[in-house]
Amino acid sequence: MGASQTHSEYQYLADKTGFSLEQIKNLHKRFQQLSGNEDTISKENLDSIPALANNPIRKQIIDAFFDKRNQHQEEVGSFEEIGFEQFLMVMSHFRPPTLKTTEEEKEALRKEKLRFLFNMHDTDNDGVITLEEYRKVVEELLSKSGAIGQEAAKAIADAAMLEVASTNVPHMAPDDFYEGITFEHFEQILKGLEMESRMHIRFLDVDTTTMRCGKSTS
Amino acid sequence: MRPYVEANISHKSHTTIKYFLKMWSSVSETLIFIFLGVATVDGKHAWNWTFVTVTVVLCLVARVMGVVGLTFVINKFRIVKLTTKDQFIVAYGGLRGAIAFSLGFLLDERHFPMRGMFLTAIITVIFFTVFVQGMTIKPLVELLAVKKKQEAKRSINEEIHTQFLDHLLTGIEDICGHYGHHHWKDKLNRFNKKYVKKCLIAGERSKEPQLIAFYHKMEMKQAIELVESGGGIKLPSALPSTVSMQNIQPKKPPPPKPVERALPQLPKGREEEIRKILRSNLQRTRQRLRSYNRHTLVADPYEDGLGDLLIKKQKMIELEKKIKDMNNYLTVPAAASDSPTMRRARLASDPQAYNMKPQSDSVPTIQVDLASPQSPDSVNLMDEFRQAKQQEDDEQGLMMKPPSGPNKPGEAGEPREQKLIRCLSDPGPSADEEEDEPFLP
Repeated sequence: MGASQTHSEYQYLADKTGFSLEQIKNLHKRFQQLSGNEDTISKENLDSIPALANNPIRKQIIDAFFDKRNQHQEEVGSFEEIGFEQFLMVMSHFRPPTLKTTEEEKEALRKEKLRFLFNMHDTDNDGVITLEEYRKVVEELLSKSGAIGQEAAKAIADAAMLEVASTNVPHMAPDDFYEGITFEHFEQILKGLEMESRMHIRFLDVDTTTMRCGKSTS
Repeated sequence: MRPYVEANISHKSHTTIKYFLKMWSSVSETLIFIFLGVATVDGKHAWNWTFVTVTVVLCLVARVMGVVGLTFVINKFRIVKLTTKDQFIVAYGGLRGAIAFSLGFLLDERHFPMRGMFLTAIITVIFFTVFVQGMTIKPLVELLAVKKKQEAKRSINEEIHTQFLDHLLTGIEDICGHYGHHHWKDKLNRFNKKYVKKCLIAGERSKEPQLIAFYHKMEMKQAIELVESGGGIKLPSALPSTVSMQNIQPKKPPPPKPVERALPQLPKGREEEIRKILRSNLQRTRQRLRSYNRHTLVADPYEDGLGDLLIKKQKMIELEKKIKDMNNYLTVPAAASDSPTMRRARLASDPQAYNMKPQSDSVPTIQVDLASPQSPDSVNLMDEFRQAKQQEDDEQGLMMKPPSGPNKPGEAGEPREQKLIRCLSDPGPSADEEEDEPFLP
C-alpha cells in the first residue's frame, strides 16, 4: 500500500470525490476489512456489520450503497457488488462544508445531499415519493420501537404528506390528486434543516485504531 | 430530567408547575433588584475614580479574553465554527447583575474596611453593563445581521427527517467503523430507552417512541387551537389550503360504505385528555359569548342553567366524533370565512342578528341548542370539518327542525339530525315565540 501506483490512484479518487489522501487511505483500509481483502464488497459484507443490526433503516442504507443513482452517472438500477471507487462516491455525500466553500457551492452541496435522501425514499425511481413509499419510510423508522401498529405509522405518514401538499400546492380542488413529493417539494419542506451542515461525518477522525473488523463477533 | 417529568404528569399539572416556577423566579428577581436600587440611593458610598474606572475596564477586557480564548479552543473541534461576529456578540452580552452585588453586600465591615468602595464600584459596573450594553445590544444584533435562533416550531416532516438522518448517519458511521458522535448518541438513546425510561416513566408512556409522542403533542396543540379559535375565526394553520385527505389518498373505486379512515391508536388516557381540554375550552368560549350578550340584548327567557346542562351533554357526545374527525384534518382544509353568527354575537350591534341566511356550507357555525329538553343530539359544532367530506349537507344544517324529529335518512353519512337552533340568547322576533318555528322567512 505504498507503491506510487496506488498513490496516483488515490490522487485520481481525491480529485473526483473531494476527500484528502489521508482520508482515502483510511477508508481504503476499512474497505479492505469489510471486503475481506477482496476488490469488491457485496450486500452480505455490509449486512454482517454487527453494529448495524440495531438500526431500523439498515436495509435502506445498504441499498443506497448499491444504488446506481448515487454514482452521479445518470444510470438507474443497482449493482451487485461495488468497488472502492463506488464506495467512495457514496461516502462523498457526507462531506461537511469547509470554511472556504462559497454560497453556490454550499447550495450545490445541499442539493446533492437532498438528492441522496430523495433517492433513498424513492425506491421505484419514478421521480416522486408516493404515499405508499412515504408510509414505508415511517414504518421502518418506527419498526424498532416496539409494537406500534400499522395505523399509527399510516396516520403519521398521511399527516406528513398532507403537510407537504398544503405547503406546496395550497389550493387544490377536491378532486385533484397529489401524486407524490417531487424533488422540488422535497427541497422546500426540508429547507429549515440546513442539510449541508447536518448531514456529515467527520472523516478526518477515521482512525484505524478504533476500527473494528466487521466480521468479528463483538 | 425534564423529559421524564413531563412524561409523567398531565397537561394541566405541567402548565401549573411551569407558571408557578416562573412566578417565583420573577418575584425573586424583582426583589433583588429593588434591593439593589435602594442600596444605590441610600447606601454608604465611597467614590474613588481610579478604582471604579479600572474595575469597569478590566471587567470588559476579562470578558473578551475569556470568550476569545475559549472559542479558539472549541473551534478546533467544531465543523461550523464560531465567527468573529458571533464572538463579539457573546462578549458584548456579558451583563453583570445581582450576584456580584449580593456577594459584595455580604462582606463584613470589620474585616473589609473598604467595603463601601467595593459596593460603589460594583453598582457602577452593574449599571454600566445593564443600561449601556443591555440597551444597545438589540440594535447591534440587527445591525450586524447575526443569525438568530430559529423558532422551534417543527413540522412533522422535519421531525421525521431529523430522526431519519440520525439513523442514517449512525449507520454510515458504523459502516466506516469509527465511533463518532452519532454512534455514541445512538448508544445513549438506546440505553435511555431500555433502562432509564422504564424506571422513571410510569405506565405505557415509557414505550412510546419519540415520533409518536411528537405526533400526539402536535395533534393536541391543533385541537386546542381549533377550539380556541371559536369555530373558525382564525385558522390555526399558517396557510389556508384546500388540500384535504382526499387529495392525497390514492384513488380507489368508490366503496359501498363510507371509507374507513385510519386512526392512530390514541391510548385512552390521551383521548380523555384531549376530550377534557376540548370540553373546557368550549365552555369557556360559550361563557365568553354569553357575557357579551347579556348586557346588550334582551335576555332570552330560556337562557338558564338548563340550557347549559343540555349543551354540555350534547357537546360531550359530539366531541368523541370530533376527535376522530380532527385526527384526519390536521391542517384545516377550508378557508373558513367568519361565521356570521359568531361575528354578530361579538359585535352585538347588528340588528339582523337573527336572520340566518341560507348560506353556503363553508360557514362554520356554532349552534347552541336552547330548545326543548327532549332533544338529545347533535349540536353541529364546527361545520368546516364536514365540508370536505360531505358536501351534500346543505340546508339541513340551517333549518329548524322539530326537536323530536327522527333521524333523517337523507342525510349523508350523518346518523344524527342536525339542528339549527337559535344562537345563544337570540330572542327572535318575540320572546315567547315557539322555538320550533323556523325563523327562516
